[in-house]
Amino acid sequence: MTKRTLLLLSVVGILAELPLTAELPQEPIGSITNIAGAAHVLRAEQELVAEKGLRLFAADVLRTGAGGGIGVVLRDDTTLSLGPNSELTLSDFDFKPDEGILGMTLKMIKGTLVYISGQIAKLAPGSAKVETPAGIAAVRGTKLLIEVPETKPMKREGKSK
Amino acid sequence: MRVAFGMLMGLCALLAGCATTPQARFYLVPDPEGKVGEVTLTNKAGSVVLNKANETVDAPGGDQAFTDARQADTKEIEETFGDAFMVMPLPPRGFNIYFDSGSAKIKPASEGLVAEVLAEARKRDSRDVSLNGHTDRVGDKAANMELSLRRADTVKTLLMKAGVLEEYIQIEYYGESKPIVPTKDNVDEPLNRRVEVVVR
Repeated sequence: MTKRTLLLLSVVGILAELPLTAELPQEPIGSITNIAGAAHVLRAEQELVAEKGLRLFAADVLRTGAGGGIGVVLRDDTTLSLGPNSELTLSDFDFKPDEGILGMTLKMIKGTLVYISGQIAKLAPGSAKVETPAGIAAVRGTKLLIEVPETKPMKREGKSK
Repeated sequence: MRVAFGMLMGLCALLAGCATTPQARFYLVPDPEGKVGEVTLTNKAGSVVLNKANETVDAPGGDQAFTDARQADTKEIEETFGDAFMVMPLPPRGFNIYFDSGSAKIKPASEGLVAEVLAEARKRDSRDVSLNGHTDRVGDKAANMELSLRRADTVKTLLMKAGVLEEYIQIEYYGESKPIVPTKDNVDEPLNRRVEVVVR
């Protein structure tokens, strides 16, 4: 084997390993601290059983069943909890105070949410948002409760119940 | 189909029964310190500001405006959110642990605080603790980077002895780059020689 082939082989070897290293690990945006009953986290088509200590990432969906509940602490000290039959998407979360990058969006799909704002709402008032099917809440540092009843008689594309 | 739904929506606007089931209901309540903040609600029909304790507003859905704010009683709030309150996390707790100059040895004055950190982690059965290591500007940058990591490791070892699993502890270290008290180079500053701990 020539030196050249060896070199080529090693280059191929490096390239072959690239896909493993090229994918930057996403930073967790928080974790689950409390659980009751049936609770799951939907992540990229996967349904994970929600457990205390489970790290959460942007775009995760929290879902509880009858009698279920989830409590979460996000990295900016935002705390939130879901009651039974609830669903919430952690759509966006940017907490880089040194770079002035601050913002978060939660999407409340259904159920009950208790939300205590953290540093994002404190440092950049109004940039912490909770979207619901019928309006957006922009929070300036506080405790907020949101209920989105499951029956949606006025939503055109909603299921008829 | 769409027409039928449209008619339904029209009917709903007329019927009181439908109006009692809003698409979303918002409540502003005092935070754990008793402080009442402010929230601005916005939809296609406009916006409304809540800034009083237990103020509540409905978003009926569709393009309809928010209802007028009313005062909710604690019974209503407890009935709706009681289950969610049961799993509400404790507020995260932060601590600053200080270190001897040029060393990863915890200052004697901070040992009481370390005991508090460990007690807090145990009490919560914490599975999420962050440790951020820092130094002052005595010594060179590279050495301080390494020292800030060693300081965080000191606290990590104590937490692990107290029963927190390694996988639940995340460490970041910044050397001398993030002082609490900005100083010139080579200035001894006890307040900057720290590990910031957050127990969740």
